Amino acid sequence: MTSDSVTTAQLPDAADMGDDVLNVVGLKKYFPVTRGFIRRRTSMVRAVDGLTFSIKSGETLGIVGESGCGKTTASRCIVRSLKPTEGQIWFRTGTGDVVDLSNLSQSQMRPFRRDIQFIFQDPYTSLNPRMTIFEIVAEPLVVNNVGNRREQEDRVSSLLRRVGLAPEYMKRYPHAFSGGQRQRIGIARALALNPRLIVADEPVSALDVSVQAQVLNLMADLQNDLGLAYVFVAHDLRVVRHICHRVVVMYVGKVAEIGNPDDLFRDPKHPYTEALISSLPAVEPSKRKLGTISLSGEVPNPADPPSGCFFHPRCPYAVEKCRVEAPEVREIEPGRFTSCHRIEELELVGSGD
Amino acid sequence: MANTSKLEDKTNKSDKDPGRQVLKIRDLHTQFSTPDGVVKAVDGVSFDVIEGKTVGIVGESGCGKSVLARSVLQLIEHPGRIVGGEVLYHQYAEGEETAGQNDILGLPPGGSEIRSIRGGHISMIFQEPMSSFSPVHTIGNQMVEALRLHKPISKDEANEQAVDWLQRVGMPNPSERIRAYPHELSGGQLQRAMIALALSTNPSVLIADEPTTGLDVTTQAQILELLGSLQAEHGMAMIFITHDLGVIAEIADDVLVMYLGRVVEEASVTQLFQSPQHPYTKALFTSMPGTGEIKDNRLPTIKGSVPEPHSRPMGCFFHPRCDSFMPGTCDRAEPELLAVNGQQKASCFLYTEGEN
Repeated sequence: MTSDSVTTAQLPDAADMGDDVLNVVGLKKYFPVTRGFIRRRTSMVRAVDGLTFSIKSGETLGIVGESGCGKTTASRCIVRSLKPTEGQIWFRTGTGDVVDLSNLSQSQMRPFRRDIQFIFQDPYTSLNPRMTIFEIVAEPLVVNNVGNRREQEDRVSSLLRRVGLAPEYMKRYPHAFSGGQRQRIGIARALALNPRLIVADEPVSALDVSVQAQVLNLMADLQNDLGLAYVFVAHDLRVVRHICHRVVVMYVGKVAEIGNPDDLFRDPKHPYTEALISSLPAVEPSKRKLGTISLSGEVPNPADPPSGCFFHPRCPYAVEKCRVEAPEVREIEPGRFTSCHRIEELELVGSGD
Repeated sequence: MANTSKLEDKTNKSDKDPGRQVLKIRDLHTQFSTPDGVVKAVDGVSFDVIEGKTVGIVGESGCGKSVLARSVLQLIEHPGRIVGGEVLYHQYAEGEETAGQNDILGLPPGGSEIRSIRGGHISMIFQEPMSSFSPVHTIGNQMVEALRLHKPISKDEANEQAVDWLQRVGMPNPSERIRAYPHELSGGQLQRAMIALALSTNPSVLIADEPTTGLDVTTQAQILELLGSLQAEHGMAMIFITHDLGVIAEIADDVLVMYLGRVVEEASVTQLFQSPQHPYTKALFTSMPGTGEIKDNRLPTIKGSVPEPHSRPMGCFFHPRCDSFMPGTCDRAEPELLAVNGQQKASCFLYTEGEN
């Protein structure tokens, strides 16, 4: 617990949480690597290693990073389909109580499940092809004994209308729908129990641009109308900039930087964020970037990360200190966190647009 | 009149000299028979591929861009069929300006001629590098096999060349990695290996079908940079297929925008980004996050979704989703792809209505 960065000071009791819906403190998830017949534990994959952030209602928090950075693992811990190794997940329930979800058993979790819903990445595999749209969207209602059949049908048709689908579609099966429509069905299902927090793992990355824009607009509308809080996991920085109020940039399980998306884009406070921005394809041919990209190499294996700052082997600004000393996440401006040792001396380049 | 706009276009790679034509595709038609009806996946597409240049093909899923790429190499499997058109491959002998001409579509499928063109003269890379390698052979064995299929060289020579190519595509430890099996490499490394495999035979055309789509932005940038520098070095032509206009901005010289099997706009990359003409192209640009003037939290969208390919709308296929829809015109006749602005072509009645 010693190196546990940012907010060990603000361990929340109910009063401290303000209007936060979710307050994640020092979240860690380690997976053991086993070898051989007796399944000897040889090492640990530190998939998420000290993640701290909070979300208010009506707010969208983005988690970005390359594959293997732990963004998906973190989102699974929040919905408790994984049990965190360490850390707390403070959640404010509908009645205003604050609970730590991190240590609850599956049966203790049950009352909170309706408040926290998940939207999946792949709209083609996340809907059961043998269930009708009614059965899919009504399943959370049926499982939680909400309403009789008539009431469930009414609820499903209003949900379908809410996400921009005709209620007559209720009797059809998923194969009859396009990717964008399926994602809407997934959203309708997530909304069925009036959740207060939705965790969306790459919800638009499988969709075409024109449909992606429709789904992003729908998510924004729902947030405005229902006051939902979103955890939005994505690798597309432009989408994240568009929809998120705050962004956590992760690298090999650790926080590189936290800030609001416009600040992060214009004035990155971690060399890794700078590299991510420089890798984005140009918005027009006159701004081609080919030949100007500094980032080389690959994401290190989280089971065998480098010493010191995990980014140092790829970082153009690395010095001896970065090789030996693991940096802590610190707040450098209000709401702005970085884990770079040298940020005060660096002039990082953001994106002009 | 075409001269002025041509001058602006020459911002790209080689400054003068239009370059020699390597592929000429004319009126290509590829269809699929499905239980729901005939899908005209590629419906009368024509374009030229020039040495050292990149043709970008962009469109949403179902627009036929991948089928188009595969048709060029006759890689269409049942129930698909190439039903018309020509793919002329111009083969330049060393030091000669005139070319031998081959109609690829006229070659017997599975014959030795088409097989020497595939992978030898025209190579292809795919989105899923895993699917173009056999999982039970090492990367090296597969590269050696491909090299020896197209060049009369010994195993040792082929091995040397394979290591050399892995080195060139930026594979770490190439002499060791060559003994690796595909599953032992990361996504980016495997994509590099596939590029090495595709380029090791010195093809004159590389067809790249969404080669960076599943990759992280950082890896994508590395791969695009690699393809650009290999192209500058070897002068190969590229057909680059993607759904991402950002990737197009980075790598293409000329661009075809496809919708439901047809080309709706054709332009140089500069023209396309400066003044897109077809309403579909315009809408694609504005619905991309980070390009428009948004931030009241709403992105401009294209209404509806892409229609089922076996029941394309009457008239212009885009009219049900188009903001400039003109009743009585757009839903009656099919617009032709015509020049609207110098070299730039669009198939839209907005540009022909004034004339008659």
